[in-house]
Amino acid sequence: MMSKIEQKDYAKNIDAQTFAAVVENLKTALITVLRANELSPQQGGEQAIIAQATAKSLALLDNYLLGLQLNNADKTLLLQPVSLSASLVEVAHQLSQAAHAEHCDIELDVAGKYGPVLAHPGGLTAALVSLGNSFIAAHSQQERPKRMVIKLATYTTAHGIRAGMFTDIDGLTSDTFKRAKRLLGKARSPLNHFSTQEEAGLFVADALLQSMSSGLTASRHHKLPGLAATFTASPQLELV
Amino acid sequence: MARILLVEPDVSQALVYNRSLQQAGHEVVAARTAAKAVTLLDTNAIDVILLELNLAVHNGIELLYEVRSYRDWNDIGVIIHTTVRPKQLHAPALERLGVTQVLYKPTASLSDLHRAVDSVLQSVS
Repeated sequence: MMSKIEQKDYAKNIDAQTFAAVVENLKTALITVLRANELSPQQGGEQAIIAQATAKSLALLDNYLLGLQLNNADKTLLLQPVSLSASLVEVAHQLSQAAHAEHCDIELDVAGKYGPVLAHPGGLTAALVSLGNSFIAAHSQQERPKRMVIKLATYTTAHGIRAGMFTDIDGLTSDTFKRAKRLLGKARSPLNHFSTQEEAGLFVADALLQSMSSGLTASRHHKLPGLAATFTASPQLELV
Repeated sequence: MARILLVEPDVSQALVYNRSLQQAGHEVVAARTAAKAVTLLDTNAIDVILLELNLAVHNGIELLYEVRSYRDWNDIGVIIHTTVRPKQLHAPALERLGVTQVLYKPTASLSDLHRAVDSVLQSVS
């Protein structure tokens, strides 16, 4: 006979499993749309629009499922020593094409010796790429005359090693980000420059990072606002 | 050009890949399950297997072990074309099973698929 707490956990797990199954089905459907679109050229340029929208949604669902998996798994099995600087270099490489297409420059600020942190390498990269894509898309919706810079940085703070993305975008403060998290799925977000899809990318990144760090918080680096996660360096890993 | 066994449980995706491979000049036979795949291997001279790992009842890895247990089927090229993340797959084990190409469906385009098929056909011949 299950206790009330056990019943609640069981129901929560079933909900999560059902949702994960639904998301997998959505992924399958989107893959079909994406490939059928490749086979059947549309007139008027719709093929590129369908491809872009479908690919973005697929990436979002993929990252969401990875976040679900990481948050539900035994993390001691999945976390490994990871160099944040190396991860940011990899993320910058993955974002370079999308950034170039939207007239954004990716800059790296990873100089300095930072010890490894315990993280899931795939999850960390997926989270930061998801975050970067949201920032790039938010830039494309602003009316600015010059190229925008998105800075990928890692630096030490009193609480640990912080890794994140920073850019000249209005309205990205601690308060708006917290309110956006509370309002997610319920009401219009206070994050002005992020559409629903880009905003979802931010929160999927946050969910992925929750499994290995403090999650995303609004932060500033060299006067640029942005979002970053704080990791604890392990003294034991530094000795190895 | 080649006879391809497409092992794909999703009917819609199977139609798309089937059409694409036929347009490229290949002959395609399709199976939704591992059991059906084994039956088709028995009755057709297959050059390449295009394999989704997430199958009903018996998964793609089990099918691969069965295929490689028959000497006559050891030379058939295998391309994994799956929704399972590449990092979840054990590359050395797949190599031992004769898999030379692994494609992740969300990011592998039809062109990537055709290139993989051509590459496997070249190595098999």
